[in-house]
Amino acid sequence: MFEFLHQKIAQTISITESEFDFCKTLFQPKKLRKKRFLLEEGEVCKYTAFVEKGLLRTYSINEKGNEHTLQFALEGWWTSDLYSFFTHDPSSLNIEALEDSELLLITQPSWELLLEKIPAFERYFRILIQNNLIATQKRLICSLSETAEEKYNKLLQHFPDIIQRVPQHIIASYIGISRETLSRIRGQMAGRKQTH
Amino acid sequence: MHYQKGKLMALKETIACVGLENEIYAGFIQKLANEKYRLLLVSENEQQLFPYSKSLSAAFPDAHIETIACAKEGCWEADIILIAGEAVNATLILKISAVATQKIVVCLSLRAHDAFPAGEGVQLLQKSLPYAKVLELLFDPSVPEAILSGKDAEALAAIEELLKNSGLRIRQIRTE
Repeated sequence: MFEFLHQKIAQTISITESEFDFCKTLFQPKKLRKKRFLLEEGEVCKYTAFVEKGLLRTYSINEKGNEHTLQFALEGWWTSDLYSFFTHDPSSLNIEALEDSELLLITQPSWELLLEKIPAFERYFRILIQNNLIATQKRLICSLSETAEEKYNKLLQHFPDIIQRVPQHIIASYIGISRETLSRIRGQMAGRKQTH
Repeated sequence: MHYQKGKLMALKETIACVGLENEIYAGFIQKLANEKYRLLLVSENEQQLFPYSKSLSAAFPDAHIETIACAKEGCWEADIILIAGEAVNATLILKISAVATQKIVVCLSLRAHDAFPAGEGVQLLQKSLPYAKVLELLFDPSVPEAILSGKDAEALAAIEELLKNSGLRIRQIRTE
């Protein structure tokens, strides 16, 4: 159950077996069925989740009822609403399982305890949050300056798994376009591929 | 649509009810059957549990009730685990120990249950699931007061909140 987490942590920091044994006692294993929620808008985000298996997405809904997908979380990724997790303010986000998922959840008190007992985790989570910050900044720049086709291409190039596993209307909400526009872009790209 | 903008949504917690097939627990389960929770009735014999769940669903159409035949799967999905004291044994513990870490596990002990003295189930759970938040709910179906005891203050508060609308009067005891 914890092998994948161990593997991912070991890619970044060195910890002993006994340290990892302690780490395991702080995580809550949770199976989340497809279409069920880890977090819903208005709730305080209690957990940060490591995805062992499955796929989740984080999204918000505007006043008109339109969904905006902010991010996905594949196997080996972490997901949460860090703002709500750290401030205990109600979240404005939803985190939904797009597939049957297996998660390892950690609460903020357990997270603090982990960092206190095993300082190497300070480095681990610092790098994780650093990477998250970089990805968020890139996504912001990309959403302001790139065309829908460029955004789609980037997603296809970097995360082909997401394109394969996520329904098209959700991909469209991630790029910030309508389902019809995405369909047209895909059609144009397929046409160009055939011509070449 | 599950969502209504501006309305604070209450996340539906999943409660696994393990070994509560006996009719004696039906009244207790009924108290939890509402739209706020998703009840997973866990029994190794799903057939045995089915009519019970069907009648519950019929009586409480807003409640989300499912049955599941595997204790490990049910407890893996659950946020909170309720276990009948008499269902606690080494085989069950072996099945659920890996998925109960950091979860609230409530052992239901019947005061007037000669076959299984109150306290044995919870002691076994506390010993075998050291990283779960094990509590005991001691109750008698014919009495409106129940005693909730355990070490973890947050878990005690969470279960008292869960039982707030159940009609049961809870006396909380924090143990050392």
